[in-house]
Amino acid sequence: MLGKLLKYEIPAMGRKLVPLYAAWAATALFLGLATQSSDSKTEFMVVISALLYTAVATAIFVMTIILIVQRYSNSLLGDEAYFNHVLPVSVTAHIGNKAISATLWIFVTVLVAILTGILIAIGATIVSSDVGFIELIRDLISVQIDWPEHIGIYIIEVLLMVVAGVVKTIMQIYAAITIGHQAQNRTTLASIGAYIAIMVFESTVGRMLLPLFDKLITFDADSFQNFSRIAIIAIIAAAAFSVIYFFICKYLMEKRLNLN
Amino acid sequence: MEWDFKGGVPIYSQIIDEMTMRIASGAYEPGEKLPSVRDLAMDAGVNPNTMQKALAELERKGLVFSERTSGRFVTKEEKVLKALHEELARKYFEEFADKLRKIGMSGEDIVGAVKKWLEDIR
Amino acid sequence: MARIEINHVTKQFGSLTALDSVALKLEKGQIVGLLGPNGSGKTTLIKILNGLLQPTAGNVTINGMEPGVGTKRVVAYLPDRNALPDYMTSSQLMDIYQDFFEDFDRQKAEAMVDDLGIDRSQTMKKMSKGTKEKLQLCLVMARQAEVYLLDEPIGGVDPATRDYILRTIISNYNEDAVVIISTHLIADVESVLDDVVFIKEGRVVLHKAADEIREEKGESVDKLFREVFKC
Repeated sequence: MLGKLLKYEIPAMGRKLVPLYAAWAATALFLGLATQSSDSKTEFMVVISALLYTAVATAIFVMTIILIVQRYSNSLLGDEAYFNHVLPVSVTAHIGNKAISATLWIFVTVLVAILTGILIAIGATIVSSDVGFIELIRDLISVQIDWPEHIGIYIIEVLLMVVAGVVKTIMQIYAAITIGHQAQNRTTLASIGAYIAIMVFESTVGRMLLPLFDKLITFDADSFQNFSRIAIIAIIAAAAFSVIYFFICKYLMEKRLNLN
Repeated sequence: MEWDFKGGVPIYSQIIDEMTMRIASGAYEPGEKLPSVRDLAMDAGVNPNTMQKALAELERKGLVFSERTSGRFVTKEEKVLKALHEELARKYFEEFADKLRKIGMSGEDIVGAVKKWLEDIR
Repeated sequence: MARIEINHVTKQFGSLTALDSVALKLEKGQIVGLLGPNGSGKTTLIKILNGLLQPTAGNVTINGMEPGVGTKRVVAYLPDRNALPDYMTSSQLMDIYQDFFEDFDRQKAEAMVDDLGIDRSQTMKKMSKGTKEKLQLCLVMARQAEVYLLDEPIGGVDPATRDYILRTIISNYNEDAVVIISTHLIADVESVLDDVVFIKEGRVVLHKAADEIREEKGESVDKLFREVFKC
């Protein structure tokens, strides 16, 4: 059933984000092209296109947050909940569906951001006579980089940390919304209150765990080991918080759901 | 044929009356297969259980009979149909005579009036 | 075991008592009218049966199960509002129903949508309020469910559609299903009902066969309703 939910949830978020991505790519290309002429008259074009690029980036950032909040609260606690909660689907699948879709789109956004960087580069080099984009790439590849030892593990650890952090943030938002919905009115205010309470809870637990870090990070270990230890603790902590928030959502939705 | 239900009388007895009338008038011919309960219920806009109950009563009265696999049929028995006609005729006469008595007509008056009316419409 | 059992259900919203110890057993094979004026608790009761609201006291079971994935498989619910994503077309919504409900009969849904003149490729957003209601009803009635919970199915539609809807309910009827129709428009539905439940200020004040009411009281259910709920 989770697969079926994702089949509808992923496009539902995409239909809002994909047009923005297209706009973002266009502004990136425009910005790149604008940098080509160093003419003082066209300088303002660079400023304008840079502003446009930033504006779309901000819009995407804001839209992503709105979507995370809205797709959850509207589908599972708002009007559409009258349909979603009568589907023969477990609450676990519903929450999982929302969290997976949101995480996925956040990472797509990151990929698109990288792509816009490339587009700026293409725009900046595509018609200029001295360096073409292809040559630029070829030069970049030919550069010999001295990769540090264990670079693969570093990358995996960082990636996992980022994923765990993103998932945790999403689950934080979901938990706050679900708790806030328990208040029969002023649910938005209650959700904000719940979010603050969650932040306080998290920092309190974090402070309690600090001594643990001190013990694990020893000076005789090399920097790689220290980094790995911190990364693993951070991943476990984020995962643990995510699980706690998930169960809060699940419990409230299974046992205390009151749609009004 | 239109179905029209009045308030205050059980729907199933109104269905019995209507079906009886249809059989007596030949709207459903002797031996004709009746539509299914569901179709009749949909046509009349009534609950299928109610239609079922009414048909069971018609069956008990012998106006319809069912064959296990093929459905329900209007009776072919002349005797039953004749008795039905007599019963209905009697019922209508009673209603008719009742009204005429209320406006002060005697039995003889009524017979006379009926004869005159029959001549008039001829 | 009755198909639906409502065991002394009380529901409070703050200081307001929406349902007060409601007890009902509804057997399969019937069409039940849940009748009461606006605000009498009909919608609250239906939402509890769907697990969308939790009772303050008491419990409900469908096929012996409390509301959950097991009951949701066999319950077809028509809510009192539009609950479907409105950027989707009728056709896409049928896809969703087909994906999630094993008992959904796509051909039947398409036939109903066509009968009612709904454009299959139009998005819900562009439909009139009445058309949205009709579409939701088509999707719900195209299921071969064991329990139908219809909250005001004929509230906002024209008389021709109302007749079509009632005929659909009759044609969908089967011995294994129970249909609950909540409405305050009694005259329109009374001929299709087996049983009627009068609900007044959160309490069940009458639960009887519709024909029994007509026979015993010598008046229509609609007339009795007007007496019971006289303002």
